[in-house]
Amino acid sequence: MDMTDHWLPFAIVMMPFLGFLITGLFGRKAGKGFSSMVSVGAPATSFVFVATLYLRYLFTTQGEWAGFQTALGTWFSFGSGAEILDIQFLFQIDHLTLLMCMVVTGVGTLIHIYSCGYMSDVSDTRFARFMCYLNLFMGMMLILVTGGNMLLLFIGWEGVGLCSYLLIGFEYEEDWKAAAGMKAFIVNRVGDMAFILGMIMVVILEFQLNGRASLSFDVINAIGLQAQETAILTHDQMWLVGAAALCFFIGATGKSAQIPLFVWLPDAMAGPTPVSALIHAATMVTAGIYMIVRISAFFVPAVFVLNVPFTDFSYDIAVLPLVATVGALTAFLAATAAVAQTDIKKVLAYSTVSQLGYMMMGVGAGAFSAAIFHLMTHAFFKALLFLAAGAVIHALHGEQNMMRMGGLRKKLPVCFWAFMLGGLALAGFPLFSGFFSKDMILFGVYERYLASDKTQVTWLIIWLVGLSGAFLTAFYTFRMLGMTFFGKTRLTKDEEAHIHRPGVAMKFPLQVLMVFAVIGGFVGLPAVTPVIGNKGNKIGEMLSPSIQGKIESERDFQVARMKRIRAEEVIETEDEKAESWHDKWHHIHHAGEIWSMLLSVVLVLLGLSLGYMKFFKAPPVASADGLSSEFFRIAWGLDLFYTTAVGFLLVFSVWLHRIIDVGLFDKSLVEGSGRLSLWISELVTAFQTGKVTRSAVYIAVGAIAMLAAALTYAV
Amino acid sequence: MAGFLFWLFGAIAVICAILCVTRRNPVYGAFFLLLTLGSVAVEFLLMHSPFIAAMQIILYAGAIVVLFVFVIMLLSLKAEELGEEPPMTTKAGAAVLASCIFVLLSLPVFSGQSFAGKTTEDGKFIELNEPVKLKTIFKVVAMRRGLSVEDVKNIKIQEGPIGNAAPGAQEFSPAERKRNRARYDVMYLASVLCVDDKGEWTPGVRDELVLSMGLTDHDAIDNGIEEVEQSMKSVEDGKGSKARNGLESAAARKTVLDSMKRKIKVRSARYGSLEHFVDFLYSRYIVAFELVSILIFAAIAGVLVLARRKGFMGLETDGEERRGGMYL
Amino acid sequence: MIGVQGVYLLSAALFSIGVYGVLSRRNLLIVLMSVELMLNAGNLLLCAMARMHAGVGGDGEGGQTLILMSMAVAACEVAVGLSIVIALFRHSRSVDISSPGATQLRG
Repeated sequence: MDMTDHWLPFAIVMMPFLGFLITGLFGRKAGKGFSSMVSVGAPATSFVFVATLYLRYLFTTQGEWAGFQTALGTWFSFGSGAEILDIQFLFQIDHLTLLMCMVVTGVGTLIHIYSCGYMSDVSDTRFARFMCYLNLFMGMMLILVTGGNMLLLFIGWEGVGLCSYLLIGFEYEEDWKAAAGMKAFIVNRVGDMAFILGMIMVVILEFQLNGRASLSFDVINAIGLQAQETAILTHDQMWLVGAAALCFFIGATGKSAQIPLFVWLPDAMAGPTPVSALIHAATMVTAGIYMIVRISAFFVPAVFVLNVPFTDFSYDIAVLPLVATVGALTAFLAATAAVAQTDIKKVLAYSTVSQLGYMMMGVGAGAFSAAIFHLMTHAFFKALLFLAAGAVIHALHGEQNMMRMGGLRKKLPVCFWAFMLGGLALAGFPLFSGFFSKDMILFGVYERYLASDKTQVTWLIIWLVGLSGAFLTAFYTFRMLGMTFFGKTRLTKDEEAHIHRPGVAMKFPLQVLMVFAVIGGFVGLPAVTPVIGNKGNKIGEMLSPSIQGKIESERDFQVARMKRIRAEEVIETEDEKAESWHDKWHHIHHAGEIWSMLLSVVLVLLGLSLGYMKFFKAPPVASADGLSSEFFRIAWGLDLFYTTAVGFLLVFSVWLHRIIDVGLFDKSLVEGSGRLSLWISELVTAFQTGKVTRSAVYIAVGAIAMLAAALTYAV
Repeated sequence: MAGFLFWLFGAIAVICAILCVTRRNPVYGAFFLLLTLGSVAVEFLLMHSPFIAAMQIILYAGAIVVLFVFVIMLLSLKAEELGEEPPMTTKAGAAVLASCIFVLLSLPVFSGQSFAGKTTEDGKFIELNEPVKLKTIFKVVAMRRGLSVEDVKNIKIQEGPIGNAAPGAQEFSPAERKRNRARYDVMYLASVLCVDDKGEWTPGVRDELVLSMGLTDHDAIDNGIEEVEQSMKSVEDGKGSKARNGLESAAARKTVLDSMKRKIKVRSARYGSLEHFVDFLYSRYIVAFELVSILIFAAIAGVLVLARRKGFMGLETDGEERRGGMYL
Repeated sequence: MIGVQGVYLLSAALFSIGVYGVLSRRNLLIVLMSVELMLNAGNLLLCAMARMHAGVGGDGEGGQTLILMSMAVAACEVAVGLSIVIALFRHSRSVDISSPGATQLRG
């Protein structure tokens, strides 16, 4: 523990905010040079801080560096007795955070640099605005990953949502772009609502178990570990755990663009391309994955018991398998949607949704480190792809339709190579970064199937869906590549002459990211000959101290697996037995992994060659597939469903507005109160005639009333 | 006699009042008002308030009605200046309201309930000249002497002559005997409370006794005393009760009764007299008395201002110049 | 024999007649007389009650004093009222309380 540890997390988080303030306040007057310097400098400084921490981790013997937590003070604390809500400004730096910070600040800084080039032709004001939003986003994302409790995470969670809204609708002069921003915001609110509910449930749980709620990850994970052991938590508390986990997952589907809330992400492509790269590929959308991994121990035992109202039926919904199912479906659905897109950014957007689905699938299968690994490699290659796409769009003066591109390989070599390498990584071409991470996830799923003695077919189906998604990914990647860079150009001569070549500021991030997209996967080389109990690769090793959730202990895992084998074996001594199980397990484990890998490689190559054959040589047919193509293009019509549903809601709210707002409040309560007072005053005025006799009558009537009252109430 | 006079003058008062408010000519109104006020003065007199009656005559008849008449003469109103006669509907409405008030006011009389919800022990109003009952005397005295309400409530005396226990008379049942015993106890208590060793009224008690019961009617006092005497006699005749009786000799009792009679007469003559008034008006009610005089002074000032000012309530009349300040 | 009930009824009757006069008549002089009637009804009842309760709170002196004061107030009231009558008559040549001159009394 170093003295620097106390202020370092704070400094890491605060640098982008500082940049945000300076750029936002002075950037407009000081010009682009100043803005870019400050706004790039801020995340770069953060990156340097993170890097020092990372180096310290690397050069400390493992096991010694366990991360640290810093409480900067109490945020708020109230309640008494067994119900104290005590929230700290708690920052936490551990292995998971470190990795996330590296990705966020590293990729983020590169995208900041890129943005300076990309946005160079806008006015100073807009430039400063854009850069300060980017900085704010970075700050919020860093709060999200360094926060030590759910509430700080939620601040970042909401903050990135806000920045997402601001940046998607950056060119708000165009209505549809502003609308896209609002759509992102509103769809995210649905998830956030569930997230808040989840937090409330956790607070209740903490009150019951500890009498003091801090919402810190450690405590939440501890509750999860308690829940795994029988008879510690009551039935109701178990229900709360399940419901809270489900709520958190719904929150994650909003932020991480899963079924059914992914619809905002494709529309979010309305923002400038660096935004898409930063927010909608590399960082923000990964928040949901990060959050689940962060409180993985809480998710592991979570089973949501759905009691059907008015009946005795109840269904047990285990949350993690649900996560995996949703992830697999999202991965497949988005991949089919990506195949049918013509807009280059839409393809990338759906591929992002698809890849997030993979991550969810990994998380759901309990392969948490694999999910984080894929998160990291995805950040590299997807940022690379987006930036390259941005460079293409920039070069073609805003043209996004792939139908109007083609043959750009010679014109934009850097973009081409960036796209090529990024695409191969995305497709999971062997030895590229995406290959390792995607494979790790797929194997994680397959492993669950194996672990269940091949009884749980669900995992097999999920695995197969994932594999088919991999095939589609390879296909649409090459489709995009072919349509954009190969074949004959479909640009006019005039357009061709005015191609805008990317400058240094745009090239440099591309080159750096290219390197990482290619070699990034090697930090997570699959453990070909691992020791038992060590799943094995570097990334898993690094993250294992941070990941609290374990699907089940290795021992149980193996025993369950081995039981079947033992039945066929001769009886051995205990030691020998254990030894033998080890070996056999190894054998099966590795066989499974190798088979899974081979299968996915074959599928990827199949997809790639199909894409190559169809789109590299022949000019693309204007998608004439008709209805089915259109069905895929609109992502299975989920948006249509929402439009219809919202349309009904809209009709209903208009009705409500008319009846309740106008009728009840405006006409009846507001105007009615005015009318009532007018009526009363007219009534009272009628009494004030000034005639003495009239007044005498009032007095007499009053006297009669008082007499009657006195007689009535006299004892 | 008193009752007859009361109803007679009451009827006169009501009739004259009705005539007073229904006459169109205010002179007749003033005349009937005078008659009404005079009848009410007689009622005051009947209620043993001679001073109030005198005041009624002097103040109302002598001052107020004269003032009315004076103003009527001063204005010497012509028929058209009397104002329009109100329409029948107005009169009918006023009659309805007035009868409502009458019914509500007189309801307690018929239902035996007073406004404050306080009733006498029999649930009826005490008649002003009702003969005082021994029981009541004893109860009041006992309360005054600090016995608790419960003790007082437990005192039970049958009305009418206390059953004689003379030899040869009818035999008493045990219950009756017990009841008689209780009566004797009360008599004993009363004698102890009211009369000292020398047969004199205990100082203070007598005034309380007299005034508490409003013993102002001579008949009533006589009745009460007679009853006391009778009970004393019964006590004397009663067997085995002598020892309990504080007043053993007939002479002593005679002294007590005479004294009682005398004192009560003196006391009742005092009630409502000027002497009685002066006693408290210049002592306990001196502040109120002075306030009334200030009020009268203020009224005089107001009258002068109103009567001497030109125009009405500061409103200008045609062409006359208004002068500032008070005209005192 | 005079009972409280009798006094009570007499008093209520006089009061109600006064109320009737105030409500039905427009001649300010008669109205003032009606007010006098009502005050007298009150005095009558006060006298009876003072006698009925004499001894409990003293010699009935509270009630008696109140009668005296009520009379004084009545005298004052009549004096002021009559001077208003004169002023009103000067102003509008009428003692009718519903005349245009009298309705200017309103605030």
